[in-house]
Amino acid sequence: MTQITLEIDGKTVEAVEGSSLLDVARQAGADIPTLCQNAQLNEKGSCRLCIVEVVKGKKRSLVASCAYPVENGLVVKTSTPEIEKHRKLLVELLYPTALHLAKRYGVKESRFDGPRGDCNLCGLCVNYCRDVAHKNVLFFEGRGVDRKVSFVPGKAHECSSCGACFDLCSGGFVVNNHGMIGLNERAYSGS
Amino acid sequence: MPRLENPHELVTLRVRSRVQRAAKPQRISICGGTGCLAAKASGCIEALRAAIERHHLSNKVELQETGCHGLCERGPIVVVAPQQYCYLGVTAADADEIVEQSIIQGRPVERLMYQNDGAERVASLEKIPFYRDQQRLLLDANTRIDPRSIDDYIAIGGYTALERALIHMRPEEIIASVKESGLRGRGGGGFPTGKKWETTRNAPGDLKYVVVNADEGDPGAYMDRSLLEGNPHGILEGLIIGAFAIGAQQGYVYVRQEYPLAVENTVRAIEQAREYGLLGQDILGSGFNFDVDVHRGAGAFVSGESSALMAAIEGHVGRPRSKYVHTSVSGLWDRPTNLNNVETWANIPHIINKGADWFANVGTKTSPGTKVFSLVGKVQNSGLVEVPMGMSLRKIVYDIGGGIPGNKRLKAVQTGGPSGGFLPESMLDVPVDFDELRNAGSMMGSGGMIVMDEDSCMVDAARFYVDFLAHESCGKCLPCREGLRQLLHILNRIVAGDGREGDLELMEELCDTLAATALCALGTSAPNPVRSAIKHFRSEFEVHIREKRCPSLACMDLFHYDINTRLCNGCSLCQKNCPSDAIRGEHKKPKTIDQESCVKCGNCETVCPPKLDAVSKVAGRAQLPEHSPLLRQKTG
Amino acid sequence: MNEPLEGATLTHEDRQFLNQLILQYAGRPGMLLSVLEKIQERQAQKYLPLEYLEHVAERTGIPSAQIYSVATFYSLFNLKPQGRHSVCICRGTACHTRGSQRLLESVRLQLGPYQEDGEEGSADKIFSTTADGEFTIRTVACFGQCALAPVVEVNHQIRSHVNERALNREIETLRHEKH
Repeated sequence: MTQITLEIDGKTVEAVEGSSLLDVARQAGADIPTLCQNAQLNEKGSCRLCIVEVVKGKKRSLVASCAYPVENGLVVKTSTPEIEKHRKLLVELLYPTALHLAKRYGVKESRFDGPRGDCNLCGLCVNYCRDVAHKNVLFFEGRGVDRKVSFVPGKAHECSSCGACFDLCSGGFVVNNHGMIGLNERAYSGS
Repeated sequence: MPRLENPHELVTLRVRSRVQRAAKPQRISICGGTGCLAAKASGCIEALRAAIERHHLSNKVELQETGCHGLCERGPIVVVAPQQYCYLGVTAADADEIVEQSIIQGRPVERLMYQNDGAERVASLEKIPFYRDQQRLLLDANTRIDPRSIDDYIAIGGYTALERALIHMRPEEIIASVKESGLRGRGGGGFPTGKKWETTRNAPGDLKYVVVNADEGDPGAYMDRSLLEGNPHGILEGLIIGAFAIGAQQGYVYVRQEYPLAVENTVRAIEQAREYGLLGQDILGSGFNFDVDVHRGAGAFVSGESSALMAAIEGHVGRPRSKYVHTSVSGLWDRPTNLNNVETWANIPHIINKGADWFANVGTKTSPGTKVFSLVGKVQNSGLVEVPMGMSLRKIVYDIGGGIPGNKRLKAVQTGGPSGGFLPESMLDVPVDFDELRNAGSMMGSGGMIVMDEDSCMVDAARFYVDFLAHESCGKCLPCREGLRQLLHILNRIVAGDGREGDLELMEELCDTLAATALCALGTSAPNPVRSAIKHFRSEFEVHIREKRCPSLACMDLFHYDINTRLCNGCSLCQKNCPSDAIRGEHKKPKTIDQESCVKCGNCETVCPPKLDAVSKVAGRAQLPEHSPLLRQKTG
Repeated sequence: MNEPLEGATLTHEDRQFLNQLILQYAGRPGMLLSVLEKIQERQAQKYLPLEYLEHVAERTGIPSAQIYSVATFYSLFNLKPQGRHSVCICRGTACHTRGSQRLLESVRLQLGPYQEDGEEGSADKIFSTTADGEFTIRTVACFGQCALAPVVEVNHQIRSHVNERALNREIETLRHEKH
């Protein structure tokens, strides 16, 4: 495996090719907040909290560190006033879910009064159910602002005997709804 | 149809097709694009065919159904060659006159000729202002060939570029030529095409792909549809040349689901090309193998994004990928894939045939070539226009488009679709050029150009785009999904009269984070319409927020209808036509509107006799009685 | 709480059709989309019955969770039966600029009431089937007929430069048509 050398927050860091900036930066001591990230899961890049500043040659950009592979010569800053401003706004958009992050960022309320519920669509439950539990009971229904987590019609009851993803949920949705009939089954009964 | 084993056989076929075309000295071309078909062009075609037969002219006159002619507002369109008489708004009843006057007597039919605003009538196509100022490099073929006939395309020179490229050029030379031409992607990104091809060619791996992006999701844009419907071989030729240059053996044309005729014509074109051996093994004896398949979209705007489109072809949900590796290096099935827009591919045969220098000299230095725009909205001559880059918006809207109907004032021109921005009247001299438009605060985008007049509300326009994006977003990433949700909520409050101090600043914050952190270009460019509307029309937003008024009289909650009792003569026409029983007043007495019941349908204004003109739209909310439940709703 | 799936079971004919379809597209990229399209086309009411989707999941090994995800992501697919007549109003920018919102309101008013779950709609979009199952009105983001705005598709035929009265009249005519 090739060794990569890069600079993170002023320190020179050695890393293994193929690792993500997030993993390497955390190993080097950076405290990067994440919500949707989980070492057991493949899906990444949903919450954007892990954004860091990367300078490559003359180009400066903000990237999601969970999805960015390490490269030689990168100059990385894991926290800047600009980055923190964005992270705080994202946490405000998550409120009142992900309260652990709200605490970290001193967010006690949200200035946004549009609709929100007990699910922030981080995807941990859906992806865990698919990739680790191999039960495929949960899925993402719809797209855009209508996207929601749903139970496969007829399978919602399986969650009661499983509960493996309950601890992953930062909004309470799965815990609150697992016992019910597949949330949208009523709409799909065809009659 | 016998296979063409080598270039010589192609040349022979071309000569034969030309002779066949020239055999009939006169030709009637009628636009058979989806638009004109909707305007009953098929009835005209049948009527013309019958008229030709009745006069026993079938062996002298070629009747041809072509692709889109561009002046869509005035379809069905008929062009009579060789004189190039252009007739607009043709109906089946005109068929006899066209045949008798123009074919037999060689005279134009005056009443079908182009006219704008009482000016003189214009007979021939090149003199019509709409066409005169265009440079129809790509669209010209649409008026001359039947898209269902490969021989037609070959007769006008089709597949000469393929022959030149495959037989007389090396892949590296082709790429160098495309680079030198300066061609930039026509899908909106404006990335240098030659450079993209080179990256894909140089990427490691033997299996490579080329893709035509015909997903054209920008509302208000239909250039790609007309190019693909009207001349599918023109795109195929470019694709095969590109595949050869890049080293790809398989290509895909991804067409959005809403374009059935484009799919049909492309599938047929591919089958015809295969039969002639222009697709498949050992094309024209060059040793190059390449084939193409068509993929249909299923109704999702976001799937037009490169990585999303490739995910869809692979059979996954058409969602963009959070990857920082270009699809040129790792695309379809993780293999190097070159994706270009329909219009980009359509330019390639012209670059090969006429040379990179020629192309580089059309348009501007940094944006060479032409661009097809769909000029729509509040404009007289709505349709597809193709102009050299560098032409000013003013010229396009006024000289080509014929200006604003009803003598209204122009308010803004929107370019770039949901990723673009609004340009106010004061910026109308901006030339259409990738960099100039970006510097002006908008972008080229795929070519949608929407004209808005004084009756268009810019707050409503910003809200329209945010609503579109909120529902077309894939919904995966937080800033885009939740950012758009909150932006939409704020804009909905504002147009309902519930805007607050601080709303503009809040929106600006949301825009900043969305632009900086979203996963794909849909999200990062979503703020553009909002930012540009606020930038150029801030006072309009402020009036909505502070005064609860819509000056353009467009936002339903911020205007009301009013009956002037001094002008009203009590005729009761409005009362009889009110669907919600909202007009009060006894017979023959002046009427008043019960604002609580009014649904703002506007019937009263429409039916009030013009000589009385007693009903008008007034900006601002109506005075509602204090106890009104409608008032309570707003402050909830 | 642990109810099995509601809805009809598959007939032998249905099963045969599905199995053939799956065979036909087996191994091809994007087969799921093509299969779903064909299933919907075959249904008189132009939708994807749940029991069909479950069968596809069983035969192909694709988890039904993925099939539902795909079916609900794309606008083309319906999971509920559609009305006999379809009215689709274009909500593209050119159409919006030329008054399609007004057309939408007018048709919405004309055709109510709607089925219980179908009330989702806003100023801009709607996707509802009338209570009597006769009409489905929906919106499309853009047909690509922008110069002919405003555009409405009635029973798969495009109408251009649509005016409110003509549209209302056409819908009334369809309403009074015998089966």
